[in-house]
Amino acid sequence: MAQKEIQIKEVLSDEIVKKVKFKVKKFDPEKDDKPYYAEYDVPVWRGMTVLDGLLYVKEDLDGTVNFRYSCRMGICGSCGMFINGKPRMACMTQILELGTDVIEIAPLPNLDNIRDLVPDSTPFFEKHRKVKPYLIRQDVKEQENPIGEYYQTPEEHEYYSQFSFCIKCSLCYAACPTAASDPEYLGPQALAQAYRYSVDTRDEGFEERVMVVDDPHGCWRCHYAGACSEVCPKGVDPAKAIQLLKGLILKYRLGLKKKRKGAGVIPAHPRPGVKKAPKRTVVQED
Amino acid sequence: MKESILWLFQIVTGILIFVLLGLHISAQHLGTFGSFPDLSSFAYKTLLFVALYHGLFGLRSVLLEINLGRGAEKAISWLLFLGGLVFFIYYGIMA
Amino acid sequence: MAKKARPNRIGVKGWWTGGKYGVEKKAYFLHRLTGLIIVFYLIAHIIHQGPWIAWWELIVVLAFIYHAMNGIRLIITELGFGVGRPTLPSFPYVPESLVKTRPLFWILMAFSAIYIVLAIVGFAKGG
Ligand code: SF4
Ligand code: SF4
Ligand code: FES
Repeated sequence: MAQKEIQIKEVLSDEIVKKVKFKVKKFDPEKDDKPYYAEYDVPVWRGMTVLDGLLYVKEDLDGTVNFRYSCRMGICGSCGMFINGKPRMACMTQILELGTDVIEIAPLPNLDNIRDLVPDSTPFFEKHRKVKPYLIRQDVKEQENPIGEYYQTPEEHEYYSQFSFCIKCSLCYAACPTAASDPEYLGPQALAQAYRYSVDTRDEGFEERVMVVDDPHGCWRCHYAGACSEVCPKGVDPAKAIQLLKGLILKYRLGLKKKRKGAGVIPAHPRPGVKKAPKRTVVQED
Repeated sequence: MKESILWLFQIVTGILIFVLLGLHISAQHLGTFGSFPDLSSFAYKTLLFVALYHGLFGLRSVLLEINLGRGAEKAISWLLFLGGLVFFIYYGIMA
Repeated sequence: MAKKARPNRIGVKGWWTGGKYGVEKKAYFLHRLTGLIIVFYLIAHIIHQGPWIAWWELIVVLAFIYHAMNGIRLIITELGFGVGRPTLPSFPYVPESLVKTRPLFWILMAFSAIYIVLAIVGFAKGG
């Protein structure tokens, strides 16, 4: 078969290829007692995302539709919505890929609904904060005023980097069946981050995190339903991290986990064969 | 006790039930496929104990996930623990 | 002043419904349901040692078979075995932890089916 030459126009064009109906769940706490669905006809071009569609609605059809977004490119984590039966990022979901003529959009469940498509992410962020998602070290002085970098091999970095792609979008939290009924459950995102920091070779805070996570509403409330990994837009696979975390905690409780010190410091200078960097021009005042 | 250790018991009891109750059910229901000797009285008592642990801990897991609040959860945990113990002593040891 | 936000947690029905997810979520719910059936039967069975309503007993046996088979998978995976090592994801990302353990699930379900047939045959023969 002769290879078809792809024309730029076919990929990037504002030609309207389809019309779809957006069914948007609307709710204004100042006016409405109950949420309701509003319908909009949206013309679709190739490459159009659900977020583009919502922006079209807001600009051309109904300025009262509320939703949250910022980066439009799957980085900021703010445009999570419940789209056609699944939590998805509006900016990463192609309308044509959904393949339906009606697109149903609701706010993410398991978080309070502030207005229209906007969930209140505060409790979700609090859970993230609870697991101490930062490097915990004994040498606080070095941490605050570093003379160099903590060393880490590429292999050591690769062991946790999958989990560090998390953008805190809360799609996993909206998908998790345990989070659906237990507001105290830490949830897939926070638990995955507890693992991500605990296996970072620069970290010394595993014991501190175990105190938070090995709790009646911690990692043992996960029963491997896998819904979190199914919806994660960044390939974090939180279910994987949580099961590895459970194994690690049991190992620790049974005294089988080797104690390790956090990685040492490679002083910035002098390094053999490397010229000294110029002095810092911006100095932080204490 | 630490949640992790309780959960470890859940796994261990799960495996024990798999073996013991498997034999018990086989003896009672698969008689037509051959002869299955039933459990000794000690094995039966062990089965009763691990089954009670596994079942009540599982029940507690479900109850922990329906938003009852920490206070009620603590009370339920103790109630299930003591209830299970009394049940075992009454039906397993005294009977 | 703004009124309060609307509570939007799915609740207990989210154990079964609430979105299109993989088979593991259905397994999660069934594990729970069969577990509850078994524990209530267990207590009733011990208190009331005599003959029990037979068709109900069959349901318990079927529940036990599923619970045991799925339990084997959960013991393996929840200890962190077979879910894969952390890797750099490439897109479209297929969740490794699920893809790697799904065959195990279906193999165990095949065993379940065999045992269930055996149990029903044994039951029909009045075993
Ligand atoms: S783990 Fe994935 S789904 Fe969950 S918050 Fe992070 S990026 Fe979003
Ligand atoms: S694997 Fe665990 S955290 Fe993820 S959705 Fe299932 S129960 Fe929730
Ligand atoms: S707008 Fe930033 S992730 Fe979608």
